[in-house]
Amino acid sequence: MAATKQKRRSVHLEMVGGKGGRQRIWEAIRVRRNGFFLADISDVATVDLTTARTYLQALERGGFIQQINVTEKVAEAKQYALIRDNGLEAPRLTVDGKPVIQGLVNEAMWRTMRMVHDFNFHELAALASTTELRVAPGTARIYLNQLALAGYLIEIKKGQAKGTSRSPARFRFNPARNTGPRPPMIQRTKAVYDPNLGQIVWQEEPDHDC
Amino acid sequence: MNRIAPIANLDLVSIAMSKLINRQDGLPGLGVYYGPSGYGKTTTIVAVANETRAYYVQMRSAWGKKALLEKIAFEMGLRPASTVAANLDLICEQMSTSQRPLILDEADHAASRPGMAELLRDIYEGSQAPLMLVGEEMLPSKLKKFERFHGRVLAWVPAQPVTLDDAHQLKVIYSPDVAIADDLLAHVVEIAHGSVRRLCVNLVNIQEHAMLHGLDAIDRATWGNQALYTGDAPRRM
Repeated sequence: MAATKQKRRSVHLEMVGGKGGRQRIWEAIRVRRNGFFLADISDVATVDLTTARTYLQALERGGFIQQINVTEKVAEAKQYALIRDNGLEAPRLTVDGKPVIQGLVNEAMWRTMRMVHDFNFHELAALASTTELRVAPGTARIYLNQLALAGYLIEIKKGQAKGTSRSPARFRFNPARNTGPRPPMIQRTKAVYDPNLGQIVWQEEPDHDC
Repeated sequence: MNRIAPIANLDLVSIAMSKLINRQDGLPGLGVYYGPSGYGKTTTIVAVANETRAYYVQMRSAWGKKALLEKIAFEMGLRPASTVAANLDLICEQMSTSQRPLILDEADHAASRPGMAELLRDIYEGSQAPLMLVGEEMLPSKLKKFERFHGRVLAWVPAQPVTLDDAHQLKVIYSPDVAIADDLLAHVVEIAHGSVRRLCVNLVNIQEHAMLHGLDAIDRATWGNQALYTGDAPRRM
């Protein structure tokens, strides 16, 4: 991430057609894999020069790209080449070039709910957890509730909050809403953004009475 | 309750998948996981897919080559091309660069449709990335017809029937509040005929019965002759 102290902007402001800045940079690099300059990439991907530079540095430290020209003069531009292609997805890296694991929890839950017939939040958390990545039941519960509001899930048994026969709600994935492999995000405003469609799919209705 | 029971099948498939991923150069990278329904194949595959960030596609009987490739492209999040050949290239490129495995469930449909097995072989040859097929008990014999495919399988993994050890692990998850005696547990394993699904249904039934009657512990004698779920259609009286 950029080292500036700028406030974090919500995802949909950053995305064009469901692609973030880093994704656009990565795609621009893959097209020009044998040699490219920072300025070209910034221009083609329509990403700010400093933002692009930060990502290129991360990619270089992570061993994805390498400088191929020898710079002698002051302010001579570095030319890079792609040396490790990771496929379609832009590598998610810290400034030091180390992989970012944030966001994998949602991905695991999203993958799991599209594979399993029906589930409650306990079962989803258990199924999505792996040895490296633990999914907390509370995380699963919040995610499920928001996705249900947005119409991704069908509630097949209502949850029972009180009494002796307390049970969590059971859900089934709505096959008509299988929009793609990237997990919908819950934004800070509790809106649901689907990166596969590149749009907000659910938003709290403003209260007109007050 | 928040976990997957580490039953025998999960270990088997995880090991097979890591064998495919970390195989030596020159070894083939195809795996086949097969077994009757109810043996916990899908649950196992969910765990393995999450572990390896695999692409998972469940095949349908109606799919031809074009549909299959489009679905795989969709699952990878790439914009599908307009022809079968172009899609094949895209998928191979994505798999060979990312080296994320592809898991095809209900792979029996591939074996019974002309040209599909060859297409899967093309995907594997073009990408050299791990490819795992999941299907019913007869899948290996159906694949035998396709000799060039059959020869490239590194790991054949039969799904294992549920055991008493597995039952002990599952008991903790599905009936945590009741002590089920070993004789009743053994009986439940026996009538499950290897199916994890039936075993779990019965564990839940026993738990509900015990809660209803205020029992903390239950054995074969207390359970008596009450019906357990066997999956058979009821007999006429």
